[in-house]
Amino acid sequence: MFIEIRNSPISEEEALAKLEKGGCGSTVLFSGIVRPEEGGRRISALHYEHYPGMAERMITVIVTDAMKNFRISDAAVIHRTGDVPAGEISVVVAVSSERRKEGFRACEEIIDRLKTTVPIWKKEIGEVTQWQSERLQQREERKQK
Amino acid sequence: MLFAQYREIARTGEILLEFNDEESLTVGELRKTIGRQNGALSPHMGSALFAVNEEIAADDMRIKNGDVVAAMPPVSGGRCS
Repeated sequence: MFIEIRNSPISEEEALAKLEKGGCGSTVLFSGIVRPEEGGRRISALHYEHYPGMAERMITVIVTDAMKNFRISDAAVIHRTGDVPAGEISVVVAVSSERRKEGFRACEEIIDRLKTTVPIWKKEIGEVTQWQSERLQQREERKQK
Repeated sequence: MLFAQYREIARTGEILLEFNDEESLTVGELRKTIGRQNGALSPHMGSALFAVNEEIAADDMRIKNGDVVAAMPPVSGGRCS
């Protein structure tokens, strides 16, 4: 298992290189790339901030669960923080397994739980610079009025 | 500890709160106290997540002397479709 959160560019190749692949018939890779648009507005980058220590520990729990529940052989998760320009990779999840089905399911589970539970926040930098959770909260408040 | 927009709103990553009765302090009481004492953070405390010693904490969790408490905005998420 390899987990890293760091403030420098990341690549798919390094995640794949960290995987233990002995006896595996499959590797599955997910890479999250910053889009040039968020919420209908152009952005030049996303700024990521995390809770050091807690974020890494929560990802470790998520990957441990996936290794147990989906019987995968290994997983690597690398997340970039700081300013990530549009078009560049912000997160990579790589999974090795004996069969592809478990690999696909595990990879999806890992990225879904990471996105919805791990303390990592993003700020949209562009036409309007704003924390994404703030924009979503404002949108909910407008809906309720 | 404060993160992301909470840190920017409060203009600090840490705030110090003093209580008369530490034994009875819960996360929920801390949530209300931060809202009362910091007007700018007040509108956000209803949806804030709290962690005690790096573990997500419910409102009824008791805070002990020396615990590290973090007030965190909802995580960013991201649409998958």
